[in-house]
Amino acid sequence: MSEQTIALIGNPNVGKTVVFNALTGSKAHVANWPGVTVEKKTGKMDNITVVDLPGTYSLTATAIDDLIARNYILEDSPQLVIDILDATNLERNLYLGLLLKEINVSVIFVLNMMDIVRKKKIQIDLKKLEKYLKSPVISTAAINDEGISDLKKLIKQELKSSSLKDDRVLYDEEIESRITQIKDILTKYDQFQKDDNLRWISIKILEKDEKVFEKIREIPDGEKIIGDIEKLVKKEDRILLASARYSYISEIIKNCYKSPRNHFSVSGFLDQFFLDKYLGIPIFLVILWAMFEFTFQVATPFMSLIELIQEKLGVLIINLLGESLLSSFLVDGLINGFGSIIIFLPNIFLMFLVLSFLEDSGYLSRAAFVMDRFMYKLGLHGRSFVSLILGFGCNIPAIMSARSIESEKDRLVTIMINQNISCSARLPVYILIAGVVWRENAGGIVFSLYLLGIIVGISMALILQKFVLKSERSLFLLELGDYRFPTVKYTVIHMWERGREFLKKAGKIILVTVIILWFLQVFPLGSSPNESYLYTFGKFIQPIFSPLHFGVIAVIGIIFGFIAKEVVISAFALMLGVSESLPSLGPTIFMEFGSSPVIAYSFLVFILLYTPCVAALGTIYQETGSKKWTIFSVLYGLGLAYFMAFLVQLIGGVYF
Amino acid sequence: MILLSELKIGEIGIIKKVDSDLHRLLEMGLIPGSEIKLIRKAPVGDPFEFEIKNYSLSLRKEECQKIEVEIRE
Ligand SMILES: Nc1nc2c(ncn2[C@@H]2O[C@H](COP(=O)(O)OP(=O)(O)O)[C@@H](O)[C@H]2O)c(=O)[nH]1
Repeated sequence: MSEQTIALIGNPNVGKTVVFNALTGSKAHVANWPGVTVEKKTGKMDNITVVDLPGTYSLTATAIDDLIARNYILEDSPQLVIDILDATNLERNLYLGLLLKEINVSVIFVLNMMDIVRKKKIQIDLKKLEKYLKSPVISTAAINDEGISDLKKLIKQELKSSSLKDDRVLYDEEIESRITQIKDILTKYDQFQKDDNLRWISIKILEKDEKVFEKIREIPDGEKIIGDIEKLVKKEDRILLASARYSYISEIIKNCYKSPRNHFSVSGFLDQFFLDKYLGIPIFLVILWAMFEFTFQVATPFMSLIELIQEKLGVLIINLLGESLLSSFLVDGLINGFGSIIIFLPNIFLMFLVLSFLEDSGYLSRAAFVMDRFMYKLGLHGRSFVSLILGFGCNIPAIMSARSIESEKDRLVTIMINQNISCSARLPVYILIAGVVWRENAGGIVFSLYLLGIIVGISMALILQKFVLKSERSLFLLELGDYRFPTVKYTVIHMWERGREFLKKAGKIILVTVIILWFLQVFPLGSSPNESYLYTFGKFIQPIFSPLHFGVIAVIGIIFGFIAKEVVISAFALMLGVSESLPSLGPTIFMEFGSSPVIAYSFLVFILLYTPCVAALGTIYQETGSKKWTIFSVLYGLGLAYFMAFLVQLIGGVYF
Repeated sequence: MILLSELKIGEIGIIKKVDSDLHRLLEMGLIPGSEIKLIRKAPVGDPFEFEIKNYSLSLRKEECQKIEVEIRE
């Protein structure tokens, strides 16, 4: 038997992910759709491949998620499409269902959330629904695994007898005659005679679908065909079609769906507080603060534990093997490398624990609603706000969280400017240097760095959108669904998936970088710190930094900073031969900057603005799936850091 | 007829005119004849939350200014 493929589709938040996991046993392969930052998940249900399409409301040519979904169905021809619907919100959900019925493909409709349907005492006549939709309809409460085994059976059965019967859904006469008109014109041309999606193409032509027009232009006779059909298309046809579909849906709802009126809505009640004119923003800020507190309070002991284990393991190995090249490789290369990866896990896990809780409960869309106005000015979406704020903790989960942002442009901008948000790992460097140089004013200096990061981030958001990502402002469409109580199981699954992806993709990059740096630092064998390849390399590139008055040691600090920003301090300690715990380290570093506060400050600005760490870089690569954007982020970070550090020295009067 | 952005909180409008360029909004149910109720505005006055087709949808003022409604008495 040949390879069989089915695709899952549905509006956002209908429980598609839960159904996917239930069908495939959550052993998903995660990648990106070619050329875009939209996640593509595939899994296996026995020997059937299951593809998870992006959550969409419609199949227009203007939204990237819509396009991915429809291109997949049209071009990769899955044998079966499973449309998941939120049965508590059937009216809007059925719209996508009808769009699918316009395509020549077998569909199964899955009414999910049946547990809530029962709780709300909604009655749905599945048999009648099947008649209207002319496709099998089945109900599930995926969260409790209810109906999943029946769904599996139905899928296998449909795959066996996937003969397309007369299963078209027809709209009212007026619109049908328009569709037929277009179809009649198309069938005059050879190219379309064998096309089994003529109905779909005709409908899209009436809707003036850009991509379909583009396709027609490409074929010979294309211009002529367009000339013929364009006369038949009216401006209001889009409205006519949307209305025709919704009026068919109204008829379905009238006959198959009974919902008791005026029941008390918990969500409505909660939103009176969460979205209140005066309380909305304070509540959001408190939740945000609680999230940080929770993450860092809980993460800190774990991180100390990881450091402790790393240290003890190092001592153990040195005791066992003695000081040798091998033990140095094991301790400073391998263990340090793995340590640099694992140290991020507490942050990632905990932040995503809270984030998936907020997301699944429905609060995160409220946060986007409350904060959208502020992001709108930057050309971004309310969703970007949370993602950017998380960067103050750690840029890595922050960058990963950008995935929930709908528009590709917004997502890329949010990922790119995240590195300008000063994460907590940079703070120790600020504190050490600022503490020595400005003493009691150090607080103000540190604050100015945070502020600078925000200002630069905002400017970059505007600049990127003006020159690099020039697409239109994305349409803000936000559904505020009912609040739900998140289940422990899926909160933990989400958290685990994020951690695992980080380990798999970003982990490799970190490990390799740490080992390379170890090599450069240790070789040639037996050399002292300022004879190593690293020192030679630092000396080699130092002239680039001469205009900034950074010496070799500062440059080496910057190189080490790629591993993680707090490592900059250790690098100074190592190179200057001062123990990290000694209070004289700070003053010695300050002397490296010629005891000039301006140069010291410009160094801190440099630390603030260049690549946060290889882990962040690995995450950018993992999320964008693009080498181009990853390299861009390094260059943009370095370039900006250099420029701003220079500017600081210029304004600070170093050159006069 | 007024703009959708001029609806007051709690008022229900019947959509009269939507620009066909707003295709995605049409497909979300904002078609002529649909009832739409303004539930609330965000704390800073934008975006707006509406009830339409039995679900809750928020839109920015910018888009609301492209849609005309008639207040349902
Ligand atoms: N009560 C209930 N909740 C569900 C059901 N299926 C999914 N959910 C919840 O609905 C939310 C959205 O589900 P998810 O699978 O992430 O939605 P997706 O956006 O369609 O992938 C999550 O909080 C799920 O736990 C269900 O059958 N019943």
